[in-house]
Amino acid sequence: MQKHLVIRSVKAELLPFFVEKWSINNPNDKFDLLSHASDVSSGVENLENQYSHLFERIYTYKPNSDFSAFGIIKSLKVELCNNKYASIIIPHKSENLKGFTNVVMLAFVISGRVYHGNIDGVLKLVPKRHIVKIIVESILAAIIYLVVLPIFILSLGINTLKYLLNASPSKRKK
Amino acid sequence: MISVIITTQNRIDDLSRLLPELKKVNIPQFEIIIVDNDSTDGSAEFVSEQHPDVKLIKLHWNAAGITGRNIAAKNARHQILVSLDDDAIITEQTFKTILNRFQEDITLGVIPCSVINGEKVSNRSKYEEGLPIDNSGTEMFSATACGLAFRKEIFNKFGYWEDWGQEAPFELSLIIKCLSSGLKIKRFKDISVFHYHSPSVTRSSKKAHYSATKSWIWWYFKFYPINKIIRNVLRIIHTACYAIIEQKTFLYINAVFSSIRDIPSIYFIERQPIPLKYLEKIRTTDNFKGG
Repeated sequence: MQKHLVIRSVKAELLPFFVEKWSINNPNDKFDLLSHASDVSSGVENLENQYSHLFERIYTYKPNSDFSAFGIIKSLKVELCNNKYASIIIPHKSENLKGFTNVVMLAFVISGRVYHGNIDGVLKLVPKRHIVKIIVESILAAIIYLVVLPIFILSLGINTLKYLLNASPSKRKK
Repeated sequence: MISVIITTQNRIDDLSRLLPELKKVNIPQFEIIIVDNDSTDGSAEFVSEQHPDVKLIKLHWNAAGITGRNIAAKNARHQILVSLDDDAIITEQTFKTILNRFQEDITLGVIPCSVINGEKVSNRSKYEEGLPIDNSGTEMFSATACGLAFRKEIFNKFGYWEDWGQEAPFELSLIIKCLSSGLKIKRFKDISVFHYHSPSVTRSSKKAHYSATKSWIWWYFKFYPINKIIRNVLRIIHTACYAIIEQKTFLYINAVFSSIRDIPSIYFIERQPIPLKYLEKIRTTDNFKGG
């Protein structure tokens, strides 16, 4: 029997699909859940009502912020790390992990073995070299950001100026 | 008493599951309004032929989620509106509970339904019988449009939803308008919506991601204080840049730049800054996929 942590990266009502698929091959495994306290669809209290049979414990992330390896409350991080999960599971509906960078990083902070799973219930190990990929992508994105940001600010400034000139009373009189 | 507002596009199967259930509801002054976003699968014809008592508003263009819901809301005759997805079901018992809760508490503005995966529930009535009666409810600051009951007076005071195209800001918009009206948002354990979205069906489109990105930027310019506008918009731009590398798409960065044109008018004309006491309680979910 092993214990795993599921990070709620899909709508709460889809969670049973992932857990049940996993349990087919590993019927004795246990799960905890990390979810937002202000879960948009259900609320943690309701999550506990609905899924108490699926999860031994539901941990709540900070209410008003997204999952982040750097933003997680220290005490929660310590507690999750101390639980020594066999794996962290990131369920998702898409073809791959694109768009889940923050969740992946958070998962790696909690444990070394990270899996991601789609709706077919096929769980794939996320290799540790994925972190290198994320770091390289982040550096490239930062370079693009440095180019894009001044263009955005300039465009917004020009557009606002145009708007204010067009909206001015003197202009309207003409 | 209750107007149910639904928007749909090419989901005749979902409508054929939902409408018979809604027709069972035995509440005086209960109306169903469906806005059809130019369906091509015969959804509108199905409603008009099979359910002539449903108020059908057939559009000849795709008005997207918010505009469609606004049209439905403006055409609603009753003071309690229930915004419902076409792939969701609320039972008669829940409609009655919703009505009771609004009648018992005049300070109640919005009731977000708890979302239950309908695929996992074989008998909806039996499931609801097992739920605890929750007269007091829990105050909260989020909602999902899948099943959302609210007083129309919120719109009368603070205007309808912003026609910006995507869902998350418009749900939060209702929350803000409700709080600004001095009304409360409460979730009750015995008020649920059964959502039937299949996990194997991905209905989100590129167009939806595109307009959602723009919507969030406008949302921040309309409601947020300057420092938070800067922080959040910079974060969106950064995420859009990251998507160029990670997802090999210019979709989001295109959306960022296309949002610029309307920012001044939203900021100078529509701006309604949210009081900080509410802002701290609201969680925005403008990230592009995960978390």
